[in-house]
Amino acid sequence: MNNILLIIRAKTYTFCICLLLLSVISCKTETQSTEAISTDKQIEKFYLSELNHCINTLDSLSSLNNTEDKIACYKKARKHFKTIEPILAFIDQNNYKSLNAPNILQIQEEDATDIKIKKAFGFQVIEELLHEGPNYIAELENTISITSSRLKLVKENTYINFKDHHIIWLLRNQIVRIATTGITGFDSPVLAQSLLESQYAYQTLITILDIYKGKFKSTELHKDLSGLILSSIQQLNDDFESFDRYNFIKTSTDPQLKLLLKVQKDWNVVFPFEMALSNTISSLFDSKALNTSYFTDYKSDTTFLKQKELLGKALFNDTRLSKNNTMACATCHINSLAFTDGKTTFSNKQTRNTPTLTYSAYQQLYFLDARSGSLEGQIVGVANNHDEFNLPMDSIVKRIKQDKYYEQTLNALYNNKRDDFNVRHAISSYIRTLNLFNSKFDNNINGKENSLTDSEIRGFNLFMGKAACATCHFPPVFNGTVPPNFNDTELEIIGVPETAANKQLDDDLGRFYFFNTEERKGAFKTTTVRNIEKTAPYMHNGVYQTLEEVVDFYNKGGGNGLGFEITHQTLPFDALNLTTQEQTDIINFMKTLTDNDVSNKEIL
Amino acid sequence: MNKFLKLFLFLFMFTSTSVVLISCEGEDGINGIDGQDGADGQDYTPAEFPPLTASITPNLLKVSPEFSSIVVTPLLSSEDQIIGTPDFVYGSMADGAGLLAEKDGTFTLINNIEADYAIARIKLNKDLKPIHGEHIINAFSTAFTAQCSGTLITPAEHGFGPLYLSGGEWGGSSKAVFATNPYKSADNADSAITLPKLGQWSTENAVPIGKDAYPNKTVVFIGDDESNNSVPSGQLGMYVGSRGNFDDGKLYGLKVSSLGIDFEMDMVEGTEYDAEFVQLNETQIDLLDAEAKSKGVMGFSRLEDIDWRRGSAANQREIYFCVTGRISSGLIGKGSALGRVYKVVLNETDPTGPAKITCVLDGDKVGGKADGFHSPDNILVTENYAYIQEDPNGYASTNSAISGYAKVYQYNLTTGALKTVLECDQDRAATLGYGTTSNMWEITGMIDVTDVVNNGNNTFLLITQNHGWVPADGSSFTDPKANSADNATKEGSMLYVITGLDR
Repeated sequence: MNNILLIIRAKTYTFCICLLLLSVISCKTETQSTEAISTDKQIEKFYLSELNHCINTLDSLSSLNNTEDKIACYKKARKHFKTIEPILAFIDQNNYKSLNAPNILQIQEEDATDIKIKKAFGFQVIEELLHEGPNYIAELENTISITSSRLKLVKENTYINFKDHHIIWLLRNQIVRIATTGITGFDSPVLAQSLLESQYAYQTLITILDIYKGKFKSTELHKDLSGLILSSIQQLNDDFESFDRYNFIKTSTDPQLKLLLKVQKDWNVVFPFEMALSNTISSLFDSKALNTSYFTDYKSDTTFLKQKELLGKALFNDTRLSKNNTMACATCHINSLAFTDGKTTFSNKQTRNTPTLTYSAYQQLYFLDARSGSLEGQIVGVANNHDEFNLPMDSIVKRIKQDKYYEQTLNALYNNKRDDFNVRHAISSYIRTLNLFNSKFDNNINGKENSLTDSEIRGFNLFMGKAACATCHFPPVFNGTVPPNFNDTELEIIGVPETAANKQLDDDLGRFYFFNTEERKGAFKTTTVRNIEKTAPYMHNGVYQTLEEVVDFYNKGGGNGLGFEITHQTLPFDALNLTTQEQTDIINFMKTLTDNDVSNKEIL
Repeated sequence: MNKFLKLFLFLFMFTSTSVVLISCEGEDGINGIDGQDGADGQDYTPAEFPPLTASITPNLLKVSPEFSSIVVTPLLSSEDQIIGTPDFVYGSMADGAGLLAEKDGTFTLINNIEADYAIARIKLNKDLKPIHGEHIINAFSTAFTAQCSGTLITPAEHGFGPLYLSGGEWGGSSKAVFATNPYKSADNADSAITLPKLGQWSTENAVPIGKDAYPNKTVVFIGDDESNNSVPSGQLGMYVGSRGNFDDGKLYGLKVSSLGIDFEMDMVEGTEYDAEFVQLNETQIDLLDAEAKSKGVMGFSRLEDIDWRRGSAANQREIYFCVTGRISSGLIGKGSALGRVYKVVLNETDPTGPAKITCVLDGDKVGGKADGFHSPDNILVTENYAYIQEDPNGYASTNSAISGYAKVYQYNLTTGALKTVLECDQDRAATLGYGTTSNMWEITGMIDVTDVVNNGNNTFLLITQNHGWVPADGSSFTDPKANSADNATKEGSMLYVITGLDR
């Protein structure tokens, strides 16, 4: 029997060799026609060389016995990975994401019959396993080989074909990535070497700018941008806890974004379309930094948008949308409370706290259990809820169309018959205007005023660093939508208690009810911290009345830290060890995130 | 020097795929290599392989009375052992497949093993009995990317090949079209090649249409199984290149140009609409999606499998695809909920020219002929029929017309008549210990192999993913050579042969 198998193998080998021979011959003509080395080829050469080093270093890790040597080796591999980060994250963002995934279960809930739960792999997982001791050797080796196989697949299928606008996007994404996740410790959970790793990524931007040097009409501009990045690298040569992130964004990130606008002009870049980060972003906390349109249904035409927003505002405040004419959107989303209601839950029929509508535009998922994919979809949930509007959308549309003003306006503004959707689109369009980015913090970091106290700045730096708040509440919106692509809104399991006494875990299982996925028990969407001063009480169940209680909860390590048994808590269990002053600083910072005049200013 | 060599090797990997195809076409024998191969072949007598005469798993499909003349036989299942390769396991969630006839009368089946992130090669004897199984692409080579539907390119049908295309969809994040030489050695199962020019999508399948559709061209359709909850975003991609070349072509997306058709649900069953193909320049998944949307490319609620009509050149320009549907509040009025089947008639002379699109079956139309559809997913199109296979998404409670388990429907391309051919008999299966009645199976991978088998009988292969069927001993239906990591899905699969079905 074995004989026969061998013969088959031999046959296959011969066949493969023929193919190889034939293709090598054909390949020669291919390489001969290559012109002078293009910018693409230069980037590719750099990228592949780093990728190769990364793979080889990672592969050599398993042969080492001593943990210290292994960690040193890991750091080398990680250095190469971070060096290619700007390029990999741009050309293959999904592979980048899985190679850099946190060590928590990866859960994909496609629909009730298609739920996939997989262990994470990649660098963060390796970093944690390296510190877990000898019992985890097998798991470590397994993770390394999976990670290495992924890197090899990426390497063997690299395709680089950059147009000018791609380079601008790549540079901009990386500048924003460093400011929003790079400096926060987001992806270096144990070694906390985020600042060092951000330097590697920045170095690559300099390499890319050098490759594109010939593209600059203004050599001065090339020098300015490279010089600024170099000084950022020096700035990053600092200690993780004492690093001044406020100053970094102000003096590195934002000036770089502004210079990039000049580069666009210098290169005459024409962008074919917009992504989440605006093609004209000039500072991270600018009101126009993010395109709300990226988070919407692209098909809803934006003509007459202002009028649609006005129509939406009228509908938002109209109680006729509910069955008994007693409830409007504004009943629970009160303007003066940053569009919340100040209650634990609106009534004893609701189980969850009313979330703020301010900045809700910048999400990919809606409701605290993330069951809807858009604001327009979210409204259907409110309409159908027996304890809310209790009136299906078709009935709502009928009522609305009985009103002459509404009917005429709808017809005039929307050139189609999709009334149901148009009504929801108008309301959503209004909600998408509730993002002012004019808080004390915004105005200070944007240089419009200089009024932040030392405590408030310390608070921001803690939020973005030691206290790890920003590893889930990502700037600039401080919600769970992950920069710089903003195509994913995260849920977390943190273990919120039933009462402020912190004695018992809350019995609301959140996302679990949707598909009964065990690993999703107690998962809720990460909401924005903006306007938090006005949105008490806090958490999905409104359990805490004060920000002091909220910060205390996190400081103790969430539900697990309080002693609850939560198998899949995604919040690190360890206490944050924040001093009383530090906790006060964080609260003082969060209170600078209140928009100016949300209650008084006529938004439209 | 070393770096140059690596660069060269890289370039070689990069360019060789398409080159290889051309090289294998009709060039055999010129350099005598083929003769040598044949000499080796003399030693090889398939009769020496003891075949798996019958699967130990019973037939778990229930045939409708009006199709009582067809014969359904289990060929291979996850619990079978092939004597020639006793360690081979027909793994979890077998999916797309293709069959090649060999000169010695045997057959080679290439089969995606989706949940093992692998591709298997199974030798069948002249009676289609399995004699040998192995994996030519393993989990490490796909970097744990599920290979969903698959398409075998053959000289007979496509004018080049053989080459096997499979869609990298979930798990691995390598959302691209994988290309595999069906005769590649199983010993280097850890290197996979993707086709970057075809773009990054949530690729369900990549389907080149027949060689007569457009002379000298390769036209590949790509199904984008994107499951956006805000707006349907599964697009129909199209790659057009010269014959057998995956490097020199351009990428397009289907746009419905008839006025007032903004969403797929604006199209009603049975009405023909104007369509066009707009060129897409991006290839990275997010940029490609954004570009397609900015250019008005139609989004469907999870575009799954695609196939083309067999027969004349005009037939070969007729494309059918399944939209599996999705229920989410944001999609109401925009995307299909329970599934649809569309027909696209391509331009006579230019694949990128004006085309027509019709929704031929609408599962959401109450009282319509497709009322009762529960997530049509895979599709096989012959000369006269489309065979539509379901992969239920768990929406049975939303429509009282939905009954039972996953089914295969026969859609008559001429008369429009729709009939149920068979259904997974999970009630009976559960009593026999094969899964539960609560985990619905998927029917997939149905291919018409009549011309390949060429024995006078209409012959089809069909696969079921028997969700919920796991080994009694708690282990998993996974071949460690396909996936040695401890992350495998445990559920088994079954491969059937069906004879007597109309084409």
